[in-house]
Amino acid sequence: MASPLQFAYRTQKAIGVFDAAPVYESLPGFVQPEGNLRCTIYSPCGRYFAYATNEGVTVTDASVGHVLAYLPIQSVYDLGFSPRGTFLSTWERPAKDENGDATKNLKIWRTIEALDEGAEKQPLGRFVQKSASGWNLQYTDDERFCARMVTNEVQFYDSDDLATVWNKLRAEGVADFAVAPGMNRNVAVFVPERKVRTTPHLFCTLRTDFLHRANLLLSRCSMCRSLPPPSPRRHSSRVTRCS
Amino acid sequence: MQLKWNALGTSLIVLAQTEVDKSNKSYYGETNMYLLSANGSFDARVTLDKEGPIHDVAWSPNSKEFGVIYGYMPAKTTIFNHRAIPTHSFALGPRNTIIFSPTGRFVLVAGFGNLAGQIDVYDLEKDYHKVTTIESGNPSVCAWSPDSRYIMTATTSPRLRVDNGIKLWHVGGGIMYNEEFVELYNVLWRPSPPESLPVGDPLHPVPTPHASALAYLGTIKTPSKPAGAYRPPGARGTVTPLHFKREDEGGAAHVVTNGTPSIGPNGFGRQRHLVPGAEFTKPGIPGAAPVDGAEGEELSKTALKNKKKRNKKVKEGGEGHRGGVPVGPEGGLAPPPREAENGSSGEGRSPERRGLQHQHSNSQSRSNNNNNYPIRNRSNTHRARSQSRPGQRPGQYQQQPQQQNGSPQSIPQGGAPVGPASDAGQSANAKKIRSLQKKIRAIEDLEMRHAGGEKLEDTQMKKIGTKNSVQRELDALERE
Repeated sequence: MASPLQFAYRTQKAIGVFDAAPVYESLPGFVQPEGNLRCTIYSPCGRYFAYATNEGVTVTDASVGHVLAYLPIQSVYDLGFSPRGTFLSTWERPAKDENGDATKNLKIWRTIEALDEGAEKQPLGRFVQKSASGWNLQYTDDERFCARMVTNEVQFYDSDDLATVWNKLRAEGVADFAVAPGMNRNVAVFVPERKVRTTPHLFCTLRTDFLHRANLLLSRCSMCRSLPPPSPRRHSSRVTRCS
Repeated sequence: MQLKWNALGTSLIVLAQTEVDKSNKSYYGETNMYLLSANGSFDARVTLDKEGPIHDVAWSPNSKEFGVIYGYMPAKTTIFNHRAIPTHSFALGPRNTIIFSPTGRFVLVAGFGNLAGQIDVYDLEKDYHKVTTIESGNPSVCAWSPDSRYIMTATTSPRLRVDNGIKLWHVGGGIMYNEEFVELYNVLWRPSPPESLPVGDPLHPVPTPHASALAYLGTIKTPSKPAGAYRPPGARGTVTPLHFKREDEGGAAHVVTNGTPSIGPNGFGRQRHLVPGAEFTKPGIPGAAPVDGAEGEELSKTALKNKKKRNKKVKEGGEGHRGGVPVGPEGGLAPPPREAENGSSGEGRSPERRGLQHQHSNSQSRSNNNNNYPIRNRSNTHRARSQSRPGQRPGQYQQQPQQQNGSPQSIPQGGAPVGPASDAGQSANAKKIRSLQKKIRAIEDLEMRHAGGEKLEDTQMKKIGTKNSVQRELDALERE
């Protein structure tokens, strides 16, 4: 049976999950949390519903409302699921430890995992992520790979192994990137033009097949045609192709 | 800067915003849109046929087309195919949000934020047929349900702290559910994989709305007649002029001026001609259009009368009165308007200065008169002024330049110097008569008071004594 339409809401005091048409009633199994509630999110697949409080992060089954997992981490400001709901990312407020180093405030968790008795859930990976915008990893649709932007680089990881960088894409001054949905495994990278402030930008489309080591192939930026004649240095753009 | 992949990951829309707009038209900078295909076979800057910012871009879930809202308000909404070729344009309207339904069948085009919150729903499978327009109020959240049957709108905090709540609308336009919250922060649909969605026409049957929706419908007032924009009292009952209308209502397209008047340095004067209701018929070209006979004569009559009055004054006031006024053939007969009005003399004011004033008061017709002023002799100017004196009705101003510019012979005041002269004598007598009569009245009054036993001054007694002589004088004058 198709589950009814459902939406979740967050107010000043409570989080509710509501079954819309045709029943129009609150999800019976869902215990409404109260208190200081930070964020709510559904997994893109619709199976899970997670919310963050000051004390921790709770993952529930969106269909019935039962609690599936609980992460006792504090001051989580944002949550993110991978496309199929396998992984959950939490973003805490950036802070510093005793040595003055930034704490690793971005943590990736396996949403559902079989745990030994008494064992605590451990994150798959931790990163330092200061910016609150674009903080989350970007996954491919099949969740096999994920990518993260650092200074001048886009780093690719095998989703199961976030400790080692599997591959990286060097792009000087990269400002934004987007992993394409679908099965094509493309990534677009945006590198703003640096030296000339008034002329806006330089675009690169970067194709890469994550399965192979990407070969960088220099080609003319497709966008430059619409801009004034570019100097080759500034408008160097790359299209990487799979070998 | 936004990178938007389509669902298949084959094409990418790049929405780029620059910090500086080269054309200096917007401090938000320029927005440009590019379409790239992942395999490198296609890339282009999407050309948009309306000037202005890009408000929103969205891919259809079918990955083959995308919609763009662009241009100055009222914005244009166009659906492009994956080769950036426009396939359909919707009517212009105040819209800034476009969202395709998850099934790709519908698209909603809405105006939120500072716009009125109308949501147009179009059926893409029925040749972009408009399904409905929803008046959604002022939501900050708008989202399709995963099955494309419902649209959720919500007003959330902190964008608005009042009227927070969630509304569900059926795609056909009816409200299905309404709930109010105190400080709603966030609301979102539970995503649903496409395979679990129910099949069937989303438009039919229309589901029965929840009781809260009916309650909501009960509370909203029946839409009263739209009051419309404020009209100044003078313009009420008239049709809104075209240049006040929005482009989609038939007005002209918005032109960005960036504060600099596009109509040249004399912009103010020229713009005034556009003021609605002020029907300034432009005065004819000098000497070209003959004055309308009846009106012209009427006017000259009043002018004549005025002149007579002034003549008397001049005579009585003595010659020294008009020191600085150049005495042309008729100049003395028509003192400058300000003198007549204020009773003050024109001494110390140069005629040129007064000429300037005249020009000011006559600014409506200035453009046509400008060339004539230096040439025209002063007496003419004065006469013009005396004509314009009786009442400051603008209609007379319009008449006036035509008269001035007409040939001198045609001006009825040609005989004026003769008339007023004899006239002046008569009127001087009449005035004397009036003053004598007044004297007699005063004397009679004194006599009454004297008879009543009041004690009068010597001078008053003397005055009573002059009664006979005054009476004689009066009789003599009246006989004339």
